[in-house]
Amino acid sequence: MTNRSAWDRGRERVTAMAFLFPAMSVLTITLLIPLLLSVGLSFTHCSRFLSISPAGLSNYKTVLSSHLTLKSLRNTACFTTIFVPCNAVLAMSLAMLLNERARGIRLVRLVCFAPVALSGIAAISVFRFLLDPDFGPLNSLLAALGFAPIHWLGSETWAMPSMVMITLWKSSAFFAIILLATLQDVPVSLYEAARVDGAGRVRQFLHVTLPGVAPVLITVIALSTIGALRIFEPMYVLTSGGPNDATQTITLLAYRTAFQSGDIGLANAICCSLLASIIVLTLIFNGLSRLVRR
Amino acid sequence: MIRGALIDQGMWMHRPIILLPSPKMLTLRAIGNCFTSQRIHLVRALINTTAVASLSAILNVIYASMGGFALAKMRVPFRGSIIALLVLMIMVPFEAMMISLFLVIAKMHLFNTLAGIVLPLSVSAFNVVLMWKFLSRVPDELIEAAVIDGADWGTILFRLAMPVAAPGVATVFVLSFVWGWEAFIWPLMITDPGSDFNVVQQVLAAQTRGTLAGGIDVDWPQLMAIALIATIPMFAVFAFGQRFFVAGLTQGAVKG
Repeated sequence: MTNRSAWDRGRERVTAMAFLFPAMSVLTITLLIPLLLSVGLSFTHCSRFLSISPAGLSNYKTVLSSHLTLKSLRNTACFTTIFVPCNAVLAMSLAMLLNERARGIRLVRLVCFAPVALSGIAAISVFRFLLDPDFGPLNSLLAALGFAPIHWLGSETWAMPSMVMITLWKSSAFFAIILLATLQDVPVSLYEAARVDGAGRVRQFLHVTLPGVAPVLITVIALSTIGALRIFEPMYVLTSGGPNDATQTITLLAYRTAFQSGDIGLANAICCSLLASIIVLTLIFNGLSRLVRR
Repeated sequence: MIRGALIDQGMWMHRPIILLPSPKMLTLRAIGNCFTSQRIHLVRALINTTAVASLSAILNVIYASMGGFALAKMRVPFRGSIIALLVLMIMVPFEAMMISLFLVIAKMHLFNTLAGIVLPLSVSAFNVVLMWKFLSRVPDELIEAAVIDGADWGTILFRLAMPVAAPGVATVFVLSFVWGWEAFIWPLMITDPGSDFNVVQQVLAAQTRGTLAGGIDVDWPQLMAIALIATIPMFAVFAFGQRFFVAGLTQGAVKG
């Protein structure tokens, strides 16, 4: 009897490993190996023809000294610092608005969430039209209000804010969905209790809503920060980093360094710097959310 | 966008903007062009993209359920370490290893093949962890009963556990389908330049085509028509899976 159950347990183990095998092997090929390879190659000079010679830290020195990489680091940091707070505030307000009980709120919700369902590149293409300096609706609106037209994508000053705007449009809706789901989990009785205690809407927000969603809000901020550091698509589609590298970001630079200049070692060094900063940020956010939950 | 797809270029330039054109101003020219024009390979791209998205969705569901089930309900050696490794892998941004991934896939002679595109999309650590969490909530008694009845593990997973964890399965399916549909940078890297393999690349190509052909400007209605067609399937999948999707994401995000 004991023998048989030991045999069963052994078979269970083997089956379990067989179940795990496809997922883990694909992840090893497509994630672990490339990751290690990236780290390894970042310490080499490697051309697109894969002639490899050791380079020590020189790629990282280039990352920290070259004008272009520094500029894309600055651009990415700039994008992130504008984008993340705006995104959090917008997503939160949108979620709270949609949490109101009103007639037709379901329809309004559906419309507000539409950006999430729109294909990213397709949506970005629509923005190309909206921001068109000559006949885009946005400039027509500005003209109607008596402002001078803005050359959105063509000017160094406005290119990056345009990118933030485009990304916000899509991502705030996405994060609003998550926040709305959380808001609906905040017990109504808490609001009633606060009202009985004479709390106004502002105090209700500060003492009931905010603590209720705080852990999720931190997750939202963490996810949007990481997303912002990786931003690629709007720049690739609309400006290809221009004008005058004003919208050059880390990911875009890495992509171009590898596939246009063919400097795979340097491109990997750029990617690894990004990876390192994301790991550090994730650890910080993890610590933060642990603090909040306590 | 819908409006843009249905009017012609002259109308597009018309000022002031006519927000709601009357029916007789509408034309299906741009939409029709998508399917008939020699220069636009939208039909092929739609087939490609559908293949990539559905393949990656199906593979993700199967692999993630199997892996998640093993972690949730079976005795596995090194269970804790595997979970920790998976969570770590979620954090790795695709961009950090995309260049090496390209080298690996090219070394496997999968450059410019369907398999090469789908392979990296076919499993995500996030989905495995998500399924692990969903399947953990399947009652133990249910599974023990099935074991005593002599069901083998495959039957238990596919006939018992997965139906019970249907919301999780739906979430993984919708997520992976959308990722596969929207995947942009990876197909761009792993296919021949200029092949405009999938739908989003077609959208992009539509923007440059006008200027390349010597035209002064982008053929806006054409662009809008392609963008519209690119969006419809996403909308359908979202409408179908929105409820599960939100629940799944919240659980993944909050308890992650």
